[in-house]
Amino acid sequence: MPNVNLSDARMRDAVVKAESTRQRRTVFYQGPSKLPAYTRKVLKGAVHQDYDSMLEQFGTPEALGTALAEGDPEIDFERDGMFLWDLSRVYINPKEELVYRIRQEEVVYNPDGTVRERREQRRLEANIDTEVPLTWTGKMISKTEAVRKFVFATKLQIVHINGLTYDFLYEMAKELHEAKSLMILGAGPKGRDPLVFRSRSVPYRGFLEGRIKDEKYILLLHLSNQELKAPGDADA
Amino acid sequence: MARKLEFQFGNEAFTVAIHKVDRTKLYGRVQTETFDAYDKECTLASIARDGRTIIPSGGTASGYVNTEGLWVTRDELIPIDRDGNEVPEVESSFKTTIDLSEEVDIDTFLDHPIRLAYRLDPEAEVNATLLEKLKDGAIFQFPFSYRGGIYFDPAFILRDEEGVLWMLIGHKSDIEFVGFEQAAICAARCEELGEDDSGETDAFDFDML
Repeated sequence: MPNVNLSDARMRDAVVKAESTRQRRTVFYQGPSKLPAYTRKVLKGAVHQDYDSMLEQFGTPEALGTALAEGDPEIDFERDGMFLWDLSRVYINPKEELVYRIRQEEVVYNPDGTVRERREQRRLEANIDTEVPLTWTGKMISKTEAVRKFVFATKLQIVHINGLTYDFLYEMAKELHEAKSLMILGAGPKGRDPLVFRSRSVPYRGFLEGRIKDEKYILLLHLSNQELKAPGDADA
Repeated sequence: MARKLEFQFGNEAFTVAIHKVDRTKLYGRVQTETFDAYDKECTLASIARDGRTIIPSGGTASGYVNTEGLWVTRDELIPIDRDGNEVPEVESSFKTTIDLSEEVDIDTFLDHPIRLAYRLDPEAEVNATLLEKLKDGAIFQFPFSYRGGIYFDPAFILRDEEGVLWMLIGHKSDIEFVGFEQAAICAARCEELGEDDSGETDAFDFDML
């Protein structure tokens, strides 16, 4: 439940909470005799059992093929099938050895698969709970127009944490409710940057929606990183 | 080849081909390449708790075991709900005709996070009344399941400003009005989340690669 530093139309700002709206599915599994069944991760094969390692061990593909036909050299009877948990992610080099020092580059591909550029890895920092609040841009887009222009992949419900922030958020929701519109919410000093929730996470454009009913409110932050439009290639 | 869905509106059925549209097709993608100190390309792997078993990509699998530690095959699994009742399986939407009779308001649509967008390509003339309604901003909701399974996802059909028909597949969500003394519904799990002066939304850059 991240904190969000949000400003209103009067440029007053407050830190409030953003809650996930995702509904969890509660489906469980039962096996024979109605005993509960759980998923477990198991080992299929370690690096010493993959094709490259075995080829190195047997010398030629033909020799490897013969060994596979005559026995089970690809199976590690001691370890295969063991339950795995708390796995750590590591990098390995072409010799399948652990690597302790890495350098990363980003390759940007165009929609047609061609390379647009190579660059040093870009590290986007979280910007939703910094000294600079998310800006009440005042730029409105009607709900009817918005749902036909953007794909809203994620929603967060903005909620108060105390009495003062209740008033603050209720007034925002009321203003947006009356406008029947979504307001574009931007980050950064000029309020034009996309919202980044965690360091190196996906940046989103933010759209704030408000609804009120009596003394209650809903303040929804719709997040989008895709326009609702067909690609240039009609058959893509 | 694009897969096809059959819809029914009133007494008329029509078939559409569906084309998935994602960010990659619109804006491209970014791939991270990793190198070691000798500029050799590296790949991501996992290391087990023993500190010596290095597992390459594809070296793990998932399976079900019961409380006695015995393997349970997929055909022995029975999905149940919280009360222990068996959850009925649903059929793939490609094997059935989807009824377009539930028109929803814009707030209902906005309550659903959208995870997949499909452009619809009608194979024949779509019912004129339906087209007129979509042109006027109507949104239709229906249950959708790509492969069949234990649940349907909420799905919607709408028409964009260019006249293209879209099917948007969403998630269910918990959104409730909150009052002064009431905390909002707290979903059990926090979700992974992931220039212009003109005032026009068109100028916002979605190509955030």
